[in-house]
Amino acid sequence: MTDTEMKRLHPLKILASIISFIKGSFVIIIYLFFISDKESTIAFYGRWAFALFVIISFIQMILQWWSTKYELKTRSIHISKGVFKKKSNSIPLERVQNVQTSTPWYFKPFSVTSLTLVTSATDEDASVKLEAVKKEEAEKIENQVLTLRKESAQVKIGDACPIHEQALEKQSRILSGDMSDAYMQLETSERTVHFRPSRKDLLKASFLSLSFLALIPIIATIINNAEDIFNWKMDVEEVYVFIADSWILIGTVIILFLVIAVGFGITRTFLKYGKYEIASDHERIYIKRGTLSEQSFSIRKENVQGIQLNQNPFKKLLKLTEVKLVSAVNDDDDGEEINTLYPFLPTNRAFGLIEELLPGFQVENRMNKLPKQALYVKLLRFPFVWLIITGILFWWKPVIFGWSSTWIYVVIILLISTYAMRALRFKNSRYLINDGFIQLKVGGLWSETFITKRKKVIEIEVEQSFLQRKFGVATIKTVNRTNPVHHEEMQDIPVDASNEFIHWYHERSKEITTE
Amino acid sequence: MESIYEPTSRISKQAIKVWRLSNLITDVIGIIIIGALLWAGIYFDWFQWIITILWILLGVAPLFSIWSVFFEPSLLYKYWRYGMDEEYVRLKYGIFNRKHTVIPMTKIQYVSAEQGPILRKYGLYTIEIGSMGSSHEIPALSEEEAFLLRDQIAHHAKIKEVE
Repeated sequence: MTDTEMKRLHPLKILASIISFIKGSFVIIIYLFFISDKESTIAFYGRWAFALFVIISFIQMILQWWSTKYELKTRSIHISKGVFKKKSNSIPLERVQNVQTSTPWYFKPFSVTSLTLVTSATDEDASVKLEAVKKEEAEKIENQVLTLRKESAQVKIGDACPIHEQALEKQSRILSGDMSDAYMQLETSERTVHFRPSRKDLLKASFLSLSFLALIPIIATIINNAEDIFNWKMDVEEVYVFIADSWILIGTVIILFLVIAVGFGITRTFLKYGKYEIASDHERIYIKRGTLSEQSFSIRKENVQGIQLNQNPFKKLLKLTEVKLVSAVNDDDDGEEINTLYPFLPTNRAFGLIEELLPGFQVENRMNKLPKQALYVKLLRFPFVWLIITGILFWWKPVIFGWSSTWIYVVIILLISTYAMRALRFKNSRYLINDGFIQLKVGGLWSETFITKRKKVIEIEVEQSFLQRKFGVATIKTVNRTNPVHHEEMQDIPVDASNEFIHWYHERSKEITTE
Repeated sequence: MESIYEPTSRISKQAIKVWRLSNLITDVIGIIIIGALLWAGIYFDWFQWIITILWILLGVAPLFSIWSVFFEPSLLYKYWRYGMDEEYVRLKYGIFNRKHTVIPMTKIQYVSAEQGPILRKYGLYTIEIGSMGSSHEIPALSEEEAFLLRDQIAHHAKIKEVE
């Protein structure tokens, strides 16, 4: 292949590198240019060294952009990187499971986006990231992936998802001729939108997301700087007098702070979760989100290994649920949980949505409670964590809040809460072993429900401790194929149910098709 | 926990001897190390609490050795079961904590027979089964059994299911 066929990324890649560089060296910049003493030698040499570092990094960024080239072929994408040491990587498009795009706000005016193709492979070459490509180019690549997948899906697992005759007709057109054109029609005609958050949802979400806590570090910095500016120097006594004298001022400041915090929280939530859209066609689920920076994510339904429904105590109170799709993709580099459907779905809507999006999945509301024996086992388990903490405290006898005996109360409170949590976990645990499904709900104050298909479970285990044997209960475990593998376990279900679980898993061989 | 899916094959009875020997060796080494640390602690005047802990360890270690050399091997042997058919490999083992694992053949990625010096002395092999999620061992099988099992698993595991 010659260089003329290979394309470079959009030059905005350099801007993206610069921004991530600034983000990465934020602490150093703040220290060198704002905090450190201007006259000190450390600051002097540090600044020069940093300037040199900036120049080298900048050259490196340009070289990186210059040397990174990609080429899209019919069935694969080819990438070569490296200035001195060339590294090239070719990924068959058929193996691509998920397509993600992310458009930071500074990319938007130029209609440029960052595209990631994720395969099921487990090594470091598992995904391809094109940090800056034109939107049309990204769409072209995405469409090519989608059409290829459809082609092979039709040949291989046509029975897995019912295909309408109309769609079949269009697919044959895809196969025969103008691929992208036919695809566009197929896509637009079939993609249905399932969820867009209402204003009420967003208001609830903004109070819940606790995002206004992000204000605290900013305010702390301002106060810190204010100290320098106004040269506040007060004794402890003066502070007391000040507080006593000016409680109106302080009250106003607190109220003002709360108003700003809530306002900040609402704005942030509206920007982050406002333009949210969950859509699907018979092959894939598409999630779009973000107002200033946009992100999109698409995943093949077949590659969804399971579903997780998470609730924290506040979400329970407001009847909201976070729905996560368990798949081979992990969170992206920025730690954003990209595979979350929506963190604040109304609980009753969540169940319906799952069934709409994944026709193979069912969410059953009525699940089995744990037997009484489970409670006895949970209470009889040896409280190791508590014992270790007690041991350490006994050794140390730390003085807390000025009292020498506070640690005894800490030990007592810990013991009570340990057992309270156990009782709560017993009360909230639910399980259901259904036709082709298993549903496990665990947790005390926080709760997590995991739902998966038998077909997607790659290994099971039943474990019984000595104590569990005496009370006729057992622990069941499932393993799902993700990267790394996803383990789930449910403690203290009746032995009969654990036997049923083993039988249930053996029925798996009737469901699968072998090559 | 009885059912038709219960694994029934047993590992070689020689396993008891193998485990006795290997546990004896590790325990003796362990006790020597603790003893050496204790000597160093007293000689170089370490913190008192470190020395206390070492004395406790030195006291407990022989008791633990009695368990791991005289009782544990025969109990482990007593409860070890494995089984396979065309579709699944099943393992069941454990003295206090009993585990029952079911692995579909189509999810097995490799299988190997391994032998350390002690196993070689008794002409035994350990079968290691690697799946996507984890790896499992069937310890101490006779050479004949081990190779047969390995070949059978390898044969069935060749079949891959449609994802």
